[in-house]
Amino acid sequence: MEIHKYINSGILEAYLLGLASEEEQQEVQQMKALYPEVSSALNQLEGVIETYCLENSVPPPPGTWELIQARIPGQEIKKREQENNDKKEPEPKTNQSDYVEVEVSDSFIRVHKYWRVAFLVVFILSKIFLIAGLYYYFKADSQQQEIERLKTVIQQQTPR
Amino acid sequence: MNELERSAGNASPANRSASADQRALYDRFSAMVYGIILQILPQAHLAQEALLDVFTSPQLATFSKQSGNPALILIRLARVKALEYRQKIGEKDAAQAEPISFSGSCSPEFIFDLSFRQGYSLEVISEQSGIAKPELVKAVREFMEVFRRS
Repeated sequence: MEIHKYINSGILEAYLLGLASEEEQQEVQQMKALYPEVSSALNQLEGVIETYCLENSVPPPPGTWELIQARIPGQEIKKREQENNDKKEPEPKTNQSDYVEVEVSDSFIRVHKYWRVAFLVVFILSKIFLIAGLYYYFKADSQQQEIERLKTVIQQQTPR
Repeated sequence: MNELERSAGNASPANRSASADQRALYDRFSAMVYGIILQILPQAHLAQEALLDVFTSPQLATFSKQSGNPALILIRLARVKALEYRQKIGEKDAAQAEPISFSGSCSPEFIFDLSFRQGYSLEVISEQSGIAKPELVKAVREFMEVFRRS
């Protein structure tokens, strides 16, 4: 009879919702271990509380999981600590890159920073070739015009 | 080899398993957790921050090793985090026991709201309302009973 009074007192609900004091929490845990009725009542109440909370569910804003992933320790992109590795015993060399790979779902690619230099070199060379091409084109054109002019002059000076 | 495969190749099995557990928990309970947080903290941007705190909490990371219902662990954790944010933004600090306005009768729903959503301890409510703590605990039970019957 006493155990039913305890179950109906509301302390189990308070315990499950996190409203009980430390002392009360310990008491409930002891009662749970001692009395199967308490354990069974707790299981039932867990279902009720879960249903109550599920009924008040609100979908989180989109992109929340990506933010969580970015915050999970050990998941962020980080350079391997070369200094620490130097201090430690040399490990067998693997094919791993200098970065810890992370799972991402965007449309970007990550390339080595040397590609930036390579891109700049290619860009500058393309400009140089373009300018040189234009220069020689106009030069050849003016030479052609000069030849035409000289031919005309020679033809005029030739005695008939 | 694509990004995903390389990622899987580099992550330790423990990390992959923890991440998968976390994803499963998020898929199943994120809406429930966000709903609880919004009941306590109506500001959406702060509620999202609290939600992030819940799912990145070290307490949650170790939950898979514990026995118990994950939903209940998340419910308690969500409440604690939401109340922490409320305190941070300078809203009513339950620990400092600002006077509670008791207008009319103290319905089970009102007691539940004060204790669960507003974060007042049952002791503080008892002190200020003059209602004995066992009665308050009973009111919480009645609130859940009403919900169960509905």
